[in-house]
Amino acid sequence: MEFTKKDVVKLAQLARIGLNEAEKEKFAGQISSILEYVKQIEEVDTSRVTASGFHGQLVNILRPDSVKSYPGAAKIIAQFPEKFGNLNKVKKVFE
Amino acid sequence: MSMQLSELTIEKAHQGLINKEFSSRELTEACLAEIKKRDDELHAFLTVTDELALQQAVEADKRIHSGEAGPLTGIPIAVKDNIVIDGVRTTGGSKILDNYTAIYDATVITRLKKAGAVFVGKTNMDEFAMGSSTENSAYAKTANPHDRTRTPGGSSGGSAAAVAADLCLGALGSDTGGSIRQPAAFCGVVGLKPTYGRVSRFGLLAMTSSLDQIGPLTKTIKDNALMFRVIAGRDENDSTTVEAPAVDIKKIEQGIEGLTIGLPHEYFVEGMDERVRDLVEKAAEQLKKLGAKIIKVNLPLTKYALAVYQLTVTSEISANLARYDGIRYGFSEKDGAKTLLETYMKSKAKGFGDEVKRRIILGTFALSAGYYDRYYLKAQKVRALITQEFQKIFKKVDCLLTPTAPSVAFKLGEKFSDPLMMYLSDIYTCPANIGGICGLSLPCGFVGGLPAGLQLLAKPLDEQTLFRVGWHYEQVTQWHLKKPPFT
Repeated sequence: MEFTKKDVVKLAQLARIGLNEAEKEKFAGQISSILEYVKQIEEVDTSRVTASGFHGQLVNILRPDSVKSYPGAAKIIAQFPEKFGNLNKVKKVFE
Repeated sequence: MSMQLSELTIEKAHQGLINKEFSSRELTEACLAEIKKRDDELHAFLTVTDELALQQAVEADKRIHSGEAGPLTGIPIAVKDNIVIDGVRTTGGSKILDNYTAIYDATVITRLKKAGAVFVGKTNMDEFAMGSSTENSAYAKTANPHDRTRTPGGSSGGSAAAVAADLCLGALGSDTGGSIRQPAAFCGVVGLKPTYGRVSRFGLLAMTSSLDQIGPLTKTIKDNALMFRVIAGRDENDSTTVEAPAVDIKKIEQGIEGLTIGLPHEYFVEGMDERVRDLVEKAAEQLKKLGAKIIKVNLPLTKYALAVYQLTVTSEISANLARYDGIRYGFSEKDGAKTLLETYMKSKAKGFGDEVKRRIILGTFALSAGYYDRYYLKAQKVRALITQEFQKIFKKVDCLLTPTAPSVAFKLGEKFSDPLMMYLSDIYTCPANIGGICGLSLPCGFVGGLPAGLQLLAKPLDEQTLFRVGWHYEQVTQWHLKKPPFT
């Protein structure tokens, strides 16, 4: 399928990635050819594969929640790009 | 000893250590000296952890002296830079984690530390393991030790090059579609992609959670089994891990008479390097001489595996990489970002490379309303059929024998601008990930001075058969002993 620059712009917005003009052009072409390649899976008859067919063998592994103390909070805080005391400081959400 | 200590196998180094021929400190210093001498040209390492290594070596020597050494005690190992070690910089080959210091140990690291292994550094890789040549690293292009104008393969190219060039005795890599086996083949070393669920992914930077597995790269089959034995096992921090009997090192030597090995027609197709095909067919002959029964088999869905792989990988990536948003850790663009949204957009714009951006966009598309059924869901259905196809074939054969890659190492830059061409180098390796089975690559000869790899595939949890067949082949060949040329 033809994947256009407009598609790239929309998806980049959804994925929260900023792209420059050259990237938009380049990705549109490259993704078109990848989609052209992957579309061959349409040939495979999967009519007999149900959702449970590929989730069927999977089981949920559960255990009760347990509270553990974690001594490394300072290491986490140290990685914050911007701090206000022990708080992670971020830009405003609304303009 | 005329041989450099760093050239030793894990097995031989262990003997030397317990016989007090040399200390772990001397062995570790030998590896660090080699890194210092040669890594300016090879760029196998992103971070060299010499201080940590020497400290661990001293501890290991104490353990050896008290007679408590295990097979990996005091052995210098390199770790792919997408596996976290507490207190050590971990970049995943990405600029977005340039300043990131890991705050805990991955389970494989905890296990290796307990075994007394020594970590000499973190190895170069394609950004977040996305690539087949290590050229997508944001930091450096690793050279193939056998020919520096060529790639080491990828994404665990740094680990494969480090082992091949004797900068360490073994290394950890990760394999989502061939990222351990293909670089192992290109660099002439042994690489294992364990069965999905065999090795904990806790502490591995997630790329495609349903496919990723950590595994060892080593100079010999036995060394590989020794590392695998330590890192494998159930882990409560990774609910996809399974209980399974540990690999039995002694039983690797059990004869292979009567084993049935399948040659799948679809892995010997036109378009591959015929010289590689000849070497793999010769290997089949040798295994036949050793008593194995060789039969031709068909796996008709193989041709769809790479497409299934691409859709699965990009979809999971679009979810897994959303965490790198410039908010809690890693690179955060401050320049001109006035709102939270702008922080996200600008941090990712500057922090991620092309391949990562391209895959996130494609994955976002494959999961989006209106396309989900056609792409992601369809891919998962075909994936189920590929898994069934492997299940059926492993009722007939004990293992499959294939080339690891359609060619030997390609030139740096040769496929860099054409993503689809690059993806095709995973064509023989990604089916194992899609089918959840295990696979091993080992050297099977040389084409124009470059190593070629053969791949053995076995049913889930049957790594024992891979090591057993691989070991017997290794005993009757010399390929694993051929060292890259020094300049």
